[in-house]
Amino acid sequence: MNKMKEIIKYLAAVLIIFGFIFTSCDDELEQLPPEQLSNELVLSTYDNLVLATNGIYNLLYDANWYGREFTVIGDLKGGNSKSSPLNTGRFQTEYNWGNNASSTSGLWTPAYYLISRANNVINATEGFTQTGITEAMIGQLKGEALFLRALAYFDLVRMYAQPYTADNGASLGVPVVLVTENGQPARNTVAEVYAQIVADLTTAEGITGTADRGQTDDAAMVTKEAIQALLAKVYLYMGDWGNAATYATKLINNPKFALYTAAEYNSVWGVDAASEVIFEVYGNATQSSWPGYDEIGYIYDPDGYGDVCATNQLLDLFEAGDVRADLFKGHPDYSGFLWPNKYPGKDIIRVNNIPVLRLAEMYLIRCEATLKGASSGVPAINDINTIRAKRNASALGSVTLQNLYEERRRELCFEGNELWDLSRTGRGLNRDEAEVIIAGDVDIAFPDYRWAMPIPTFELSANANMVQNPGY
Amino acid sequence: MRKLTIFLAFLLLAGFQVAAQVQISGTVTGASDGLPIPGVSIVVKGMETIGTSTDIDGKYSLTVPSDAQTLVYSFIGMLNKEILIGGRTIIDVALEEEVLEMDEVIVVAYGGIQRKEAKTGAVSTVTSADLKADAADSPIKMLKGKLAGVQINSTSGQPGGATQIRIRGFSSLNAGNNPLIVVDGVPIVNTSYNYASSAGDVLSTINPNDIESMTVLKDASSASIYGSRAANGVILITTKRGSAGDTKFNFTARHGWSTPTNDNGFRFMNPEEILTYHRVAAVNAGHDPDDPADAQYYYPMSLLDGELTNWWNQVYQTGETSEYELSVNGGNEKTKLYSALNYYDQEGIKIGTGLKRMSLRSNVDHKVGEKLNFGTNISGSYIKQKDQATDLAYANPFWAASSLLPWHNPYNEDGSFNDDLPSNNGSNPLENVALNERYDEMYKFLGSLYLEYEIIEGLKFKTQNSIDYLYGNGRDYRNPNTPDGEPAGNLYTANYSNRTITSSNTLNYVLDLNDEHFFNVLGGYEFTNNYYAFQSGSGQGVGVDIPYLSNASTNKDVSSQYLEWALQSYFGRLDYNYKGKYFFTGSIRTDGSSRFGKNNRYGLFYALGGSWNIHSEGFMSGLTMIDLLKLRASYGINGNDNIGTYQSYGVYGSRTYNGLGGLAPDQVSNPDLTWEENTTWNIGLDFTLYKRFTGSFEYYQRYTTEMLLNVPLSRTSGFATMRQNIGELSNKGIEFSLDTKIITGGDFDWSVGFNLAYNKVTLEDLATDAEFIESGSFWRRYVVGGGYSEYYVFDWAGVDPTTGAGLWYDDNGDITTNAAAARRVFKGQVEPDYVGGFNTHLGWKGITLDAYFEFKTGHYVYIMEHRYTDADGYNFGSNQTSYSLNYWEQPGDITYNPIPVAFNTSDSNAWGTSKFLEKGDYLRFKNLSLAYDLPTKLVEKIKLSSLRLSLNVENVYCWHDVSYWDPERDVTGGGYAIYPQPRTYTVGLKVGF
Repeated sequence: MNKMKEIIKYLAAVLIIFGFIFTSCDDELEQLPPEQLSNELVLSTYDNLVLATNGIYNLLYDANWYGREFTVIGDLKGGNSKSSPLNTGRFQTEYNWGNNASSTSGLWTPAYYLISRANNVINATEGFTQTGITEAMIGQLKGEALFLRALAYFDLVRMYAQPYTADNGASLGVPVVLVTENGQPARNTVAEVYAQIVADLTTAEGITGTADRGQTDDAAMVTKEAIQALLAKVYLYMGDWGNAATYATKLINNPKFALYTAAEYNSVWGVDAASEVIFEVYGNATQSSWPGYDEIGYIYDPDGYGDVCATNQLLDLFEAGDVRADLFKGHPDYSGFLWPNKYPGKDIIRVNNIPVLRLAEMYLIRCEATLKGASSGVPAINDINTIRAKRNASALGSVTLQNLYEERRRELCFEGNELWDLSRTGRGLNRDEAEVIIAGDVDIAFPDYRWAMPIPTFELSANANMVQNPGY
Repeated sequence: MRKLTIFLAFLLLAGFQVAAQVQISGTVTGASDGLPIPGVSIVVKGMETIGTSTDIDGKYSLTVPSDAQTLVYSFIGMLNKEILIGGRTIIDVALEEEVLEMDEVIVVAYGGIQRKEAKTGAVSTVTSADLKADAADSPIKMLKGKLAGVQINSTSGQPGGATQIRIRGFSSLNAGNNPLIVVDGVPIVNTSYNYASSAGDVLSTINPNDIESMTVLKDASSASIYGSRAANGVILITTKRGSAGDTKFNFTARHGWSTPTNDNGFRFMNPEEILTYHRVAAVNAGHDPDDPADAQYYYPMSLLDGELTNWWNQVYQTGETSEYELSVNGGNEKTKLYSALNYYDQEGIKIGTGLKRMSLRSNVDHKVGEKLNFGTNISGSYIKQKDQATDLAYANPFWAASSLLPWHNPYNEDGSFNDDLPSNNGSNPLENVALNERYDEMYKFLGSLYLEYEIIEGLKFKTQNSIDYLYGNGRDYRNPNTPDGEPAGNLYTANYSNRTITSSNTLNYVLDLNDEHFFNVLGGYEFTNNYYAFQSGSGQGVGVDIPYLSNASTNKDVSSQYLEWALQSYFGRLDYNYKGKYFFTGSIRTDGSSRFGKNNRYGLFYALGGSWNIHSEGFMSGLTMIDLLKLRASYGINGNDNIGTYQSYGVYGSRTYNGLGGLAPDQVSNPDLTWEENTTWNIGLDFTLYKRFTGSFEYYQRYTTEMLLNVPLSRTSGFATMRQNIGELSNKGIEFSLDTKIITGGDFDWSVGFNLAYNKVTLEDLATDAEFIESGSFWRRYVVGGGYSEYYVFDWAGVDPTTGAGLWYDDNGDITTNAAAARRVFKGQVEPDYVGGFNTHLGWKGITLDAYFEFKTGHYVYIMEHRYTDADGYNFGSNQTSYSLNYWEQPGDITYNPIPVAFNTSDSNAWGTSKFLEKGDYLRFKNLSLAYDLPTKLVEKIKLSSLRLSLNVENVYCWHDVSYWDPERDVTGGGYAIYPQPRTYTVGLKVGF
C-alpha cells in the first residue's frame, strides 16, 4: 500500500507540473493570421475603418460590373452595340436576350459583396468614438459607404427587376440587406429598394464632403457632388421629375465641373478626373482579375477581343461635324464596322477609368425632367443645346422627348445606360433587322419578362427565400 | 509461444503429488540491476505440474521430488534459465533480459515496443530486412505493396517525386488523406513543398538506409492516442540504434542504372506513319498535302528524305545512381551509438531531372546510473531536386517529345540549337535543359533529446523534446534564348522555412499483480508549435550574365505567407491483460488546436480494444497444429485536424484602389469549425499454424462525420461559400495477409508471403440537399452513394462505320454525332477495389533471392493527353500515338478512331470523353534482389567482418493494358504526360569491418 501512496504522490506532482504548462500554453492556441486582420480589429479603430472603406471601392472595377460586363450589357441589350465580325462568343447570350438563371448577369456577386462590405463600415460607424476622431471624419466614411451601397442597390434593381416606372415599384426587387450576416433574405419590392437608396443617399448628402486620403484620382472617390448626381439619376428612374431637376441643377451650377469642349472631347476618356466627371471607377491593373484581357477596353478594341462593336442604328444618329462621331475606330479587315473608342486605355494594357456619373448627364436629366413637367426654371431646349454646342452639333429649334432620347444615346453611348433608358420610359427595343443577325428576337417589346434578368442559380439554391423572376 | 506454454503449465499446478521430496529455496534477481523479480515462474523440468512462483521480494520455496534434475525459471521479458539442481537446496538465480527480435514485437505509440501477442489493434510492421533500400529515394516508397491496406500511389517516377499514402481508403475531401508520420517518437511535417519544381517530397530528406522498421497503425485502438491527427492512420518510423559490443563499421557502395519502362508496347508514330497520317488528314480536310502554297497543310513525302529524329530517344536517358554510406554501430552497457553518413545521387530517366542527397544521422543512448537514461536522435540532410517543366508545358521534355515531328531536328547544321520547331511552339527540349535552371533544395534538421527516469520501480517519467526544421529554396530561371524566357530572361525564386517544436512528456507505470493481472498505464502531455514562413520574388529582364533578381528590370513582384499553429494535448492509455490470455487497451486523448474555432477548441478522442489469445485456453491444448490463434476487436474515435491554419476566423485582407491601400473581408467567420471525426471499428484474427503459416485477417469500418465541405451561402452574406463540418463518408474493407515458411532449418530456406486488401469508399452525405459536388477536375464528380470520386464522362459510342464520324449517346440514349449533345455518365471509379502484393524469399548458404510483386485492380485511369496525342486531326502538326493508326478510311471500316481531319472541329477528342477512360489494373514485378554474404571464414582472412554483394532490379516488369508508358496515375486518376516509373538495376557492395 505504501507503494500506491508513493505512486499517487508522484502522480500528483507530475499533474501539478502539467497543470502549470497547461495554463501557460493555452494562450498559444489563439493563433491569428499575421497577414490579415480580424473583423473585430478592422472595424474598431479609425485607421482600419479608413482602410475598410477604401476596400469597398475596388469591387466596382469587377469584370462583372463597371469593369466590363454591366457597362457592356447596358449598350448591347439597348441596341447601341452588336456582335462584331470578331466575335468569338462573348456576350452572345446578352445580344440574343437569351439569358437564363445559369447564364444571367454576374453583377449579383460583386454588388452584394460590396453591400456586405459597406454594411460593415456603416454599422461600425454607429456610435463610434475614438480620441481625436471627429464626427465629421467618421461621417465622411459612413457617407462614402452609404453612397456605394446605394449605387450597388441601384444597379442590382435595374439589372434584376422591372423598372420602377412600370408599376410604381410594386414588383419584386432585390433583398435589402443592411446588416451583413449568413442569412437567407427574401426579395423586397422595387419601391422598397428605391426607398432605401434614397434614404441612404439623403443621409450621405448631409455628412459627406471630399475624401482626402492621398488618392490618385479625386473623381474616383465619393463626394457630396457624387451623391447629389446619383440622387438626380435615381429620381429620374423613379419618375420624380421635380427632385431629379433639383438635384441635377445642383451639379450644373457647381463650378467644380465643366462640360468638355469639342476640341478636347477625344482626349478625355479613360483618364483621371476629366472636367465633366462627377464619379468614376478607378481602373488599375492590380484591381483586375486578368489584367489587360478582362478590361472593357479590350472587348471594345478591334485589336483586342473586339467582340462588340457599334450598331449602324447608333452611328446614323450622328450628324456631320459632331465630335462624338469621331470617337470610333475601324479594323482594316472589316470595313463597315466601327468599334467605340471611349475606353482607349490610360496605359498599354487598356486599363481605363469608367465614368459613372458626369455633368452632361445632369443636363440631360434636367432636360428630360423639364420636358416631363418639372419646373426647373431652365427651358429644356437650353439644356440640350448647351450640350450640342459643346459637341459641334447644330442647335435644335425645339426639343421633343424623341430628340432628348436620341441625344442621350449620342452622349452616353457605351457608358451603360440605353437598356434601362428604354425600360424606364417603356419604349421597348427596336433593332434594325438588316444588321442584327441573331437567332432570337430582334425586337423586344415593353413590357416583357426579359427586361428583368433572372436571379442567378447559385442564389436560388443557397437561399430558400429567394424567388425567381416570372418567365424564367 | 514458449512463455505461454509455461503459463499454461503453471496454471495447471492444481494438485501436485508428493513422493520423496527435497525443499529448494532461493532468490531470483535481474542480471542487469540485481533487483529481485517477483512473479517468476519456477517448474521442474519434465514434471511441469510441480512449480511455484517468486514472491514480492523475489524469493521462492519449492518442494521437488528427489529425482528432479533441473529447474526452469521463466518470466516475461527475461530469457528462460534452466538450472541443474545438483543436490543444492538454495539456488539463487539471475535472469538475463530478453532482447526481443523485431518479428516478435510491434512498435507502439509513446511506448517503445510491445509483444505482438499483446496487440489489440490493426498494426502492421516492416523491418529493415524486408525494406530493400537498394533502389528507393524515399522511405515511404519502400512500403509499396508490402502491407495490406497501405496503398502507396507514386504520382511520378521522378527521383524525389511525391507519393500519396492512403491507409484504408479515404477519410476526407478537403482536409487531406495523408497519415501522420512519426519518426522516433516525433511527429514530423509531412507537407511537400515545391515552389520551383514539380517534385518536392519532404520524405526524401530521410535516408531510407537509416530505417530499422516502419509500423503502420491502421485502426483506432492503435492510432487514437494521436487524437486529432490520427484519422488517416499513423506511420511510426524507427531508426537504427547502437548496440553494445564491438564497434562495427559498415561501408556500402551502390551503383544503379535507370531506364524507361514500357511493358505495353506504347509508342508514338514513326516518321512514315505520322507523315501518312498528316497527308490523309489534310486530304480529308479538302487540302492538297503536296501544294507548297497551302503552307499549313503542306506535308510532302520528301520530308522523309532529310535527317529524322526520334524525340523520345532525345528526352529519355539512362539515369545513373550512385550511393555511398558509412555507418558506425557500437558502444557498451552505458553508452550506445549509431551514426551514418550517406551520399546519394540519382539521375532521372527524363533529361534534366535528378535527386541529390547528403544526410547524416547520429543516435546516442546513454545510461546514468540505474535510474536515468537519456539519448539524442540527430539527423541533418540536404537534398536538391532538379526538375523540368511538367504537364502540357512546351518546356516539358515529355510533352515536347509527344508533339514534335520527326523531321524537326534538335540541332542546326552548325551545331546550334534549332528553334524552328512549330510543332512545339519553338521550344527545343534539349535547349531548355541546357540553358534553363529549375530546382528545389531542402535542408532538413530533425533532432530530439529524451530523458527517462525511473521514479520508483515500474514508474518511469520520460520527456522528449524535439525540433523539426526545414528550410527550402527554389529557383526557376528561363533563359531568354528559350521561349519561356523571352524577351530578356525570367526568374522566379522562393524560400521558406518550417519549424516544429514538440515537447512530449509521459509517465508510464507497469504493474504485475500476482502474475495474473498485468497493467501498463501511460499518461502524457504534449505541446506542438509550428511556424511556417514563405517569401518569393520574381522578375523579368534578368538576362544571361547575372541571372539574379537584383538584375531584374521589369515586372518585379514579391509575395509572402506566414502560418503558425499550436496543438496542446493530454493523453492516457491503459493496457491490461489477464494471464496473457485476455488483453484490453483503452486510450483517451484531448487535443486543443489553434486551428479549431473558438467554440470547439478542444476535442476528445478515445479508443477501446480487446483481444483474446484463444490458443492459450486449456480447451485448445489438444490442437497442437495451432500455435497462435488470436481474436481482436477495437472501436474508437479520432480526428483529422488538417482543416487549414486560420480557417475559422473572419478576416480582412489587403486590397488596393485608386492608389490607396484597403482592407476587405477575405474569409467568413466560422467559430464552430472543427476537426473531422473518424469512427473506426476493427475486427481481426491472427493465426500461426504448424509453425509455418502465419497470417491475419481484418475487417474494418471507418466512418467520417463532421466532414469539411464548402457550403454555398447566399451572396448577400458577402461570401459564396463557407467551410463547415457537415459531410459524411465511409470506408469498409477487409485485409488478409499470409506468410508461409515452406522450408526452414538447414542450409536452404524458402518462404512466400501474400497480402490483399479490399476497400470500398462511399460518400454518405454531401451536406444540405446536394447529390453531387464537382471535384475540381471536370471529368470527375463526388456523388452521394458513390465512391471517393466517380468518373463523370461524355458517353462515347464509337465510330460510325459508314461515315467515320465519332458517335455519342445523347440524353435519350440515341446515337448522335454532335459532341455537344453527348450525355454525361458515371463510368468507373478512381480508387482500386483490391490492392495487394506477394513475395518470395529463397536462401542458401548466404545467398538470398527475393522477389516481390504488387497489384491494383478495379480502378480506371483517365489518359488526359490523348485529347492531343489521339486527336483525330484536331492537333494537326503534332505527333500522335500509334493508337491513332487505327482510323476510319472508307465505308465499312470498323475502327477505334474516327476519320482524321486536319484541324478537326468535330470534338471527337472532347475533354472528358469516355473514349480516354481505361481500366487501370496492373500487376507489377516490383523488385528482384539477389545478395551474397561471403562466408565469415573467408571474410576474416581479409581482415573484414562481413562482405555482401548484391544485385537489385526495381520495376522488373508490369502487366497492364493502359495506353501509356506506365499504368500508374495519382489519386485523381488523371494527369498529363506523367513521368513513368523507371526500371532500375543496382549493384551493391557492403563491407563490415
